[in-house]
Amino acid sequence: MNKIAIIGFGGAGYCAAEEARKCDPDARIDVYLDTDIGPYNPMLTTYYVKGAIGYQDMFPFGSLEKIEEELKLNVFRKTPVVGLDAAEKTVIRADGSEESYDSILISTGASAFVPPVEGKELPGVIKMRTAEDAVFLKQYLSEKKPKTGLVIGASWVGIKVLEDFMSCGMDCTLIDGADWAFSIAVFPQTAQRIHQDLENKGVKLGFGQMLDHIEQESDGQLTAVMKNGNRYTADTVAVCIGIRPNVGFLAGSGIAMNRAILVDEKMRTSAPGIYAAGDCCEAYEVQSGQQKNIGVWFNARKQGAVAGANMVGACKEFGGNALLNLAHYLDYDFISIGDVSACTAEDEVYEYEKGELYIRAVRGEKLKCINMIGTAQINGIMKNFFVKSFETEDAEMDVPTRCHLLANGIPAEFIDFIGGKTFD
Amino acid sequence: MTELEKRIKAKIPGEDTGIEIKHSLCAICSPAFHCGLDCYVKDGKIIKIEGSPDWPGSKGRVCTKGQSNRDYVYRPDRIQTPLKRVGARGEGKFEPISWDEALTIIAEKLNEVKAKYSAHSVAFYSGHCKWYRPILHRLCYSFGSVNFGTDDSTCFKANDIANKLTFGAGAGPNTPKANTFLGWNYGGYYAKHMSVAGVRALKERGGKVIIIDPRHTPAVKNLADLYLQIKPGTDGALALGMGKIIIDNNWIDADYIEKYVHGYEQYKALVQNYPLDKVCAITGLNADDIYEAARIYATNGPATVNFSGCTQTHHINGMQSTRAIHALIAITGNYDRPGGNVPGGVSYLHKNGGFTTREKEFRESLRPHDQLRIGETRFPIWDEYCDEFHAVDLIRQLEEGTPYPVKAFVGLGLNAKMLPESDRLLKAMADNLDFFVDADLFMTHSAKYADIVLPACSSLERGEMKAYEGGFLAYTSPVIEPQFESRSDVEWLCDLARKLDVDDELLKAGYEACCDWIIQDTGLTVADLKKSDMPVKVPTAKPANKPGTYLAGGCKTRSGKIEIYSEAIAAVDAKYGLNPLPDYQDPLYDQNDPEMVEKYPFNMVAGVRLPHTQHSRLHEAPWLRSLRPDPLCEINVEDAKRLGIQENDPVEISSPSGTIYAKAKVTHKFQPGTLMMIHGYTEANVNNLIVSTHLDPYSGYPGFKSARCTIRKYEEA
Amino acid sequence: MKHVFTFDPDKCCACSACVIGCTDQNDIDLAGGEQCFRKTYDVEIPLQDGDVYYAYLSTACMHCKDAPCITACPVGCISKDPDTGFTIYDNTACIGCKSCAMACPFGAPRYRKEDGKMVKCDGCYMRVKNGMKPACVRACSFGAIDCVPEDEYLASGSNKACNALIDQLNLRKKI
Repeated sequence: MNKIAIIGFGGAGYCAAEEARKCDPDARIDVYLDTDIGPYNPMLTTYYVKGAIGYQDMFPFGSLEKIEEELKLNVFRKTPVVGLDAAEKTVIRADGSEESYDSILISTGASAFVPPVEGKELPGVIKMRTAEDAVFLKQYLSEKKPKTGLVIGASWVGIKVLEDFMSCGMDCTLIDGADWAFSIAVFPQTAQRIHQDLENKGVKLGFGQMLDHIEQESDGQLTAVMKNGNRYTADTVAVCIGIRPNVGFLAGSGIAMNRAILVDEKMRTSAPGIYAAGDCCEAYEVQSGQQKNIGVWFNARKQGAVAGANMVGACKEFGGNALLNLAHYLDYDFISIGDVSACTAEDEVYEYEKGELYIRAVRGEKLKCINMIGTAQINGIMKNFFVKSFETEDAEMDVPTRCHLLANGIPAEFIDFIGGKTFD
Repeated sequence: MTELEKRIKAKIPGEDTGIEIKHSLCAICSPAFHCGLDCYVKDGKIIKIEGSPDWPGSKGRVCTKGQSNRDYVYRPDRIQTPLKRVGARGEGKFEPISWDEALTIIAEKLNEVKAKYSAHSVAFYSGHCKWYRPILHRLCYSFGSVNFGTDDSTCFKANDIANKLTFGAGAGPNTPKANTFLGWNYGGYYAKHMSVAGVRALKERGGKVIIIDPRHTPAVKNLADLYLQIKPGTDGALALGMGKIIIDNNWIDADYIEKYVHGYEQYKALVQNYPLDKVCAITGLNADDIYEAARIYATNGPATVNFSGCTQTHHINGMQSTRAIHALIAITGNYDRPGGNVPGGVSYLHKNGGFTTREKEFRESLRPHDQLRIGETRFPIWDEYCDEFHAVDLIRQLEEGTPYPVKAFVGLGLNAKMLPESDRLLKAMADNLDFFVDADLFMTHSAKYADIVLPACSSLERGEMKAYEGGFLAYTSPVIEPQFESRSDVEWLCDLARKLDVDDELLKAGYEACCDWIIQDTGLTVADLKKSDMPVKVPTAKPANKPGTYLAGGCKTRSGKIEIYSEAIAAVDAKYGLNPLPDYQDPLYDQNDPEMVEKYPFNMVAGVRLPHTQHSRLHEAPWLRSLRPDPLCEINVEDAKRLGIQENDPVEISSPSGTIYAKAKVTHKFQPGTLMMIHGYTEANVNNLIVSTHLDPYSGYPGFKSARCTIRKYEEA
Repeated sequence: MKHVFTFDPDKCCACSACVIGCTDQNDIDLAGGEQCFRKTYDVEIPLQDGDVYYAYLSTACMHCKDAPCITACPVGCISKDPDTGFTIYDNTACIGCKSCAMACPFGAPRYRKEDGKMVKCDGCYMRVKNGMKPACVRACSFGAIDCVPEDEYLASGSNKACNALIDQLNLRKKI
């Protein structure tokens, strides 16, 4: 009988448990949780805050109790795992007790990163990652009714928190240490349009400055003091600089890591019998052929399912992974596919703009990065074609796909640029 | 959602959902189809349309247009009440009045004109919808006017007349028994959707499909073994050239010609003028393709020609071109033969059910003979073969007032956009008519010129009699109440007959009584038909005659034979300059002077079918309009490039008779030098570009599908 | 019973009867700018040899066996109908985040104008469960689209399943 452990129970952990149960009805599946709430989707927190969904909707798989019963799991609530003996495949609990398994999945996810600056604990300084964060912010907004908000970090979370603020009618300022928003994913030309849109919507912007500390004014307002001396005062300050994988407990375990846990296509870590999936791992990415941390819900679920199956003896692989950043906020959407940092001055550039639609793409021998604004309807097509262009030599675009792109206002020249020639 | 809510949302018929299927027919397009409909009705509203699987003919199939019946019936611009004009003609200002008031005014005004001028000065006219025509026709004659006219003047009738001239009867394709399908301008998919299955079946059993069309259509892609992309309007030359090849190779059926064909020797002499190289030059085709088409047609066993309803006859050489194609049928012995082209009758309203009715007698027996009809002396062939005035001559008679003035106009679905120089026609009506009434479902461009506008209802809101293939007759029941105050046309026509107190007891007895009279020989009555919500088998219906029966009895032509040399044409006064032989003329022969050629280098093909339009009636149907929001003029890629025109650019298209504005659609589907555009848009009415004298002298039909014009990119000021 | 949508590109003419059938069935406000779940294409694709390929197509949700949209949806709106195997949805909790569109290789999800929620072709699964054909299939006069039980499809040896479309319509193979 397979005996497995799942450490951390988000999208990856849940899908691992589900798949393992499907493949092995008799396996013993132990699940370790820091909290006592079921798997939820961190991406939904800001939607909960603005009232787009109810609290329960953040938990797409249902309650922990229901999952526990349906998947026949042993759930260890509020039982953090503090260490791992990789060679023995043994987990070490906070109380010092240990348990050995046939295989172990690390699916501990990631946490919001708040830099260790002075004032970060002041009331009115908020962060956003967990369901708890969401409950807090929702309550805070409804009780304190702040009029002004400062968002530090033009990240995917930052922009959604900004959207929450805007939906409360708050005056907002968005600042970031980089020279433009979403700097790890978008071209400056794309960012310029994103900035313009935000400014049109009344958002004040301040880029290229790092947070030094936060002070409280005499009237209770908060002021973020930047390293360059700039001061931004608001009723509330959201620190959304980024997230960090939850891998601290693995120190000394010997498991190979970069910023997160390195895994192969089968979601195996360097230690036999130990797997990792979701936001805490780095899986192979098609463009670079290297392992990268790409924290999106879809990956977490897919990776979890692959790991879960493999842990009980199946042989599945996770593939088709590309760098991907999708943002959808304030009736605006953009996507970045591929690695913007891989682009060089020698590369070929395609640019197109018509009305709300903007496309900028760069290719060397192969495609490198595509930015598109206002193309939600075709993002999946583009992403799939991008991945295909690395997986298959001379990937071609099929006729329906080409037709679909043309019908959505994508110029034939762009289709040709990305290598979508249907005949040569 | 509960299971029941899901069922209701999915529109599943049943007692629990309250959704009932009611049967009716779609009258949006040609009466040759009128496909059966399953109308899903809930709380008196149609919520879904499907083809009715057991309906004769259509057997569950409906086209894009038919599928949109809900969109059509509930168009937001339905006319709600009878209306009386309060603004200027064409301005569109009306006030609501009652039906009784409207009919009283109409009766008074018509009688006034009758008294002041004559009954003939009142023209009765029917637009595209044809179902009420027997009643309107009879009302016209009962009233005493000789002037009953319809959109037949630009529709299928020229084809019908050509058939009658050559064969004395119809010449429909007998695809099920053919080895070769010669699709002459065959589009199929967008205009005659039910025909496609038969052509596909022929292809699947190893038959050959040849398609001759200036445009690369889905039929070309999906069905054609051989495709001849002909220059618009040069079909007559191709047919004569093919005739020469067939004769030169002795692929003719000499016995058949001997027995059944009149004028073969003259024809043989005529085709000598069409050697292959000359035909290639005229048609833009290559010699091998022409030869191959002739060879396959003549030597591959039974071969049938498909004639498009009016594509060919919308050239000013169209009647003769059609007859030139007829000659191919004649010399290869493919008329009234299995797998060839076969005669067929009509039971009622363009449908052959294999039984006879008294439609013709009902319509024509009261015809006055004391005056010339509109167009009678201008188009003698038309007048001989069609019991209607020629609507194309209306504009002239209105403007000139000769040989007598037209002073009142009773229009049902009048659509001036179906006639050349539409706006000029409407102006002539506005300037010269004392009274003009129009009935329609929608406030159309033409209806805005009327003094009284009556709200008509759709086929789904009325009961009507209809014949179907396979020996069926139907009398439909309304599936919903007429919208607003709209009424079935026949109801108010019979009411009007009573108001006018015409000397016609049958008409005054109402539509059902008239139907009973018309079908008195079928063994059925309207009461019998109304018992079923599906078409009923007619006891007297007989299967079609065996091929050869018609020829054996002698053709209903003057010579009793198939007339390549038409004695009927020969009998027309020489002053008309008509040729009894189907010789070829350039489709632009009246527009070819050097100045015209330079100023208007393009050839406009107007009225190219779109799958989701029917004349103008669906242009404003919201779902369908959204499939193509803007009027588009198609232009070949090379021409577009040369003129700096890109996809969706605004363009200005001009001819000697007008200018319109549309957006460009750049295409490879036809050759350079041609433009193609669908008709019927008020804001971009391509028929305003068709000069009203650019007509086929045989049929009187306008040259919609070859007319000189020019195009340029239009920079909006 | 599991069902399979089939499409035969040699029978399609892009007449859009299927689009109107779908619109009629699903009360889609086409004129108001909503997009039909099914789309047709009449597109000319110039080839390098100077010839032109005339594409006439009708596409909608492919009802993928392992549908990526199901995995991608953060709120779990999308699921498989156990009877028909169609990819169905309940958009009550939909947040309009467009993750499904990003996952879908075919561009099948649509977003309602009024509230931004996702809507898509559900294969008319309720009709199919009630022994009826999907609306688009009923609307096709040419037999280009069909929906057949999976066993019947497998027995037919056809390769016209919609989710095999990509291979079939690859032009290089075609020409």
